[in-house]
Amino acid sequence: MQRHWSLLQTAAANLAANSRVYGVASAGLFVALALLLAGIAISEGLKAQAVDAVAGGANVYCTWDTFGRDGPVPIDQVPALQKIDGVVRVVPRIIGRLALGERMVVVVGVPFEELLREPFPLEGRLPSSGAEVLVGREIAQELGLVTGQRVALESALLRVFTISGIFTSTSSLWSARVVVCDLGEAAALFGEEKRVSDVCLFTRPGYEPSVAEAVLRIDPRFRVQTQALVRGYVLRGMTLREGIFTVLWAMALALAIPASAMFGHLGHSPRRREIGLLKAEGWRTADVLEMVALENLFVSLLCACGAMIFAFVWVRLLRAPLIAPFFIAELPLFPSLSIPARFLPLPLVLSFVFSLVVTMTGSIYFTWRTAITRPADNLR
Amino acid sequence: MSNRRASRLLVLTGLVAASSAGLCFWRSPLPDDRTFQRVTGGIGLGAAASATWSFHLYDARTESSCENEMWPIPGGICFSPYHGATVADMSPLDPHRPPRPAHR
Repeated sequence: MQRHWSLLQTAAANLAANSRVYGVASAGLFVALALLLAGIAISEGLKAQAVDAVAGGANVYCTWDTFGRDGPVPIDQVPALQKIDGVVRVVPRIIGRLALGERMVVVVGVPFEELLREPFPLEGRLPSSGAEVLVGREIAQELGLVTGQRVALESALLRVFTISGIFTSTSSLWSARVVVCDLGEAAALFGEEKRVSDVCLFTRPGYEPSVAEAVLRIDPRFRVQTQALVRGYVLRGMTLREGIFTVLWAMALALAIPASAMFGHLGHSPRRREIGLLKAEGWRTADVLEMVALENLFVSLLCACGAMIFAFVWVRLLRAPLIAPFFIAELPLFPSLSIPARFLPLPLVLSFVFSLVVTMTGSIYFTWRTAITRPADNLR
Repeated sequence: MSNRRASRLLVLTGLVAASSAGLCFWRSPLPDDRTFQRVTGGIGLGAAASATWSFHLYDARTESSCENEMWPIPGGICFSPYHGATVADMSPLDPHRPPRPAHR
């Protein structure tokens, strides 16, 4: 046991003495791990928030079959949906897209009474009439919008609205570029008085499947998605995608193996002489290998755990500057809202294993070859 | 001198490992989203902050597949720069479902 402890101390001393060399050798590994951990954390955060969003949303979503695709629902179908047993609330919506200044925004039109249902985390206040709108954080920052300012939205016709509130920086990612307004105003804006994008049905607990079936009985042209169905798709789709991302990144990490080997061992003649000296002093090959393995253990721990802390500060505290649009479409380089992220133990463990594989692959074979060579040849 | 540096490194490694492990098990709150979702009926699922190119990536409930697959060349390649490029893309919702009825 004493021998292993001595080797551990020697490895630590070696690492401290050659910290610059090891720093350069593991820089590539550190950066790759930090990006990998940030990516997985954002993906996990998005997944968690999407599941939360599904749970917070309606129980049944109805659109209209149009040429085999989702289309708008005729407004005259809405009263029939209200009469279905188990339905407690019906929210017809218009979800559209138009330009505000030079930016594209999502316009969400919901009945005015829905907007007043409960208080939002807002800067400003809730709309007091149909002439007022709520605006997303990012779009407000990009266009320099403030509460009380008037904005013109133009689609089928031009309407001027007053901004009553701006979503706070801790609000959701999906409210970043939205304009929320009254349903009637949205209908007038898009020139679609007789159709809505979809209809959301809130049901009593346990009524979701029967309501979905009842909707299809009213008219088979309805296309229906239940909360359970959407939740399943979100979990399945995002987990699959995250797996693909991790595999691609693992391939990129493999490039760190030659980098680590080149800087740390293969091209580093002092290291060869050091091993020659240790052998000349009577060290066994197993001792040399154990010492190098312990050095790798330190490097891997520092790389993986350091990358974790770096990724956390970068994503959670600094809001992922420079990399946010790489992971989430339509975000600026310096987002002003919190990025959903969740740091889990498994990616950290995997990062440590990746690091260990990279550093071991780059050093153990070379160390063994050097350790079995005559010390005189290594010292030459 | 060498022992002192080695001890410092051991302590540093221990601190870094303990801090990162602590961060993993710390459940920091996600952005407050429930009110927005309840009031709007639920909007936003995917890895996009807006629907500039496609509603599918923004919220697959409002559009079950990417509109860029049907425009400008129907059935051609998808021109959206974000399709398959983000960290958490959404696959089309149930591509095998019959045109009607949608729910099974």
